[in-house]
Amino acid sequence: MILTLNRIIKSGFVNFWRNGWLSTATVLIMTVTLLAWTSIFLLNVMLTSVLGVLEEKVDISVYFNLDAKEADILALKSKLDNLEEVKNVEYVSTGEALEIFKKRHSDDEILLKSVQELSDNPLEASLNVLAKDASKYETVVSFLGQNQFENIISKINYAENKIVIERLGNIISVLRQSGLVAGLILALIAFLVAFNTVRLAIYSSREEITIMKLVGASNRFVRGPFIVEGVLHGLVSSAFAFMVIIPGVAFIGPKLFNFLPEINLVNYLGDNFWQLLFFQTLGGITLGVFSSWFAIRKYLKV
Amino acid sequence: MIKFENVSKIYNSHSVALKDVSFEVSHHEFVSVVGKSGAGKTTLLKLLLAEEKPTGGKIFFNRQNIPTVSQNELPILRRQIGAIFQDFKLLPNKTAYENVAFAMQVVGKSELEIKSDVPKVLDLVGLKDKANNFPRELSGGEKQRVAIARALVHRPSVIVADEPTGNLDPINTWDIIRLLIKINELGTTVILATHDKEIINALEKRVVSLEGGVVARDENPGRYILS
Repeated sequence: MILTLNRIIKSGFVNFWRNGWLSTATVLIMTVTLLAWTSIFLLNVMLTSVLGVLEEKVDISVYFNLDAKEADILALKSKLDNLEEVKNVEYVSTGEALEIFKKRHSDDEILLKSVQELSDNPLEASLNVLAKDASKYETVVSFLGQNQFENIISKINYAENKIVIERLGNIISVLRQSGLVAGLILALIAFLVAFNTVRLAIYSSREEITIMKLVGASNRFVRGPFIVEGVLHGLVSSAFAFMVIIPGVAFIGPKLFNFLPEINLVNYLGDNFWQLLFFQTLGGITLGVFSSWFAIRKYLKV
Repeated sequence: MIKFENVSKIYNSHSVALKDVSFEVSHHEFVSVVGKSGAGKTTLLKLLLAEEKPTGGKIFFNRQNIPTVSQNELPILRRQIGAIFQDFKLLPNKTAYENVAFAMQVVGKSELEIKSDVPKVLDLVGLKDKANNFPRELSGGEKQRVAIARALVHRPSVIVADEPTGNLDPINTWDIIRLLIKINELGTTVILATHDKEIINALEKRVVSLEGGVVARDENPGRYILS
């Protein structure tokens, strides 16, 4: 048993080496496939975080009458916090609103002076509500529309933003779904290319397989070395693919960071290096072994 | 030892390879199967190696009916038969030594046995110096001698040769035939399929003649007579 296993492994290595050109071609195609897989994955990670950032920019503000009590506002805040649709609620008191106003208009002296001349703070307190996703704002707004809040709320800036919020919400969900579908289709195409390359490689060995069977080799003994070759193809391809991905990310990452500061691809690769390498290698080995296993089946029926 | 019992092989109604073939081969015999191209020689040997299944009839090898042997037991059956082919059927990515060693690995022999037996067999077929050459570096005659070494090395009880000299010149042809005779004298049954008249007539051994898929003559010693 161990003797047979030894022979199978050794034979797999020798075949990998002696089939030089065929091995090179297979490894190159599989490298491209793994590159496609990993790039699709990284693109999806990026798309998800871009959409997340975009979604967080969409919120609604609820303004309160100047005579509304802070306790009432905070009571409403905790009710909103308990809503399932709400992700985060931020309270901006009248004083904070004034600070923000002053900061925003710090270079406009006339405006600042006119504010100072007022004895009362004219700015309303507000709650900034961030829903879990854009489609949930309708529910939040209808919750706020209840009679009990009528006398403290002065306005909700939803109606004017409604169309924009809905449209953005639609775009985000379409992008999310189409990103996933396009990724899956591309991954499938890449898989088929690699799978058929292995099938062609094994097709070119069909005579050998027949000879081995006629000499009395068992299916396991014939198939074994091809599986070992499949593992080697996967390992080498994964190493090659990573040798392209690392400089690729190092090149594109900083450029992308300047453009979209929320995405730091270099850090992402650094934090997830081993997981990415592991799953990519696992993908490569699975691809190699599965393709060989499947492709050799019909030639074993001698 | 080997018995064909009313064996037929029909590919389709226009192509009948074998029709009701019956004959027996005993231990240590040297039997030549002769016939023109398409007479059914190759089909007969393919049936023996279970490369194909007969349409009807039984083929016994040591009381085992070959067509009923399961996929799992097939390798065990084939290891008892050494096969030699017109197109050599060597593994192109293995050296002469490795091609011969492969037949022993298949049977599960130890590395020690392989290291002692393979050089002896290569010496027997006169290829001691070419052990590390790949098939593409060998001549036709040398390739066929590697194939014979591979067929012998695990000491099968029978050797089946399908037109082994079909691709060789006369000098190499006689080398191969002399080897087969030697193997037979050492106790191995040999079944030789050929259409080479000179060889058959010189051998003076049993001859089974096939004509149109039917056994036309079975004589011992026989001659090459085809209508």
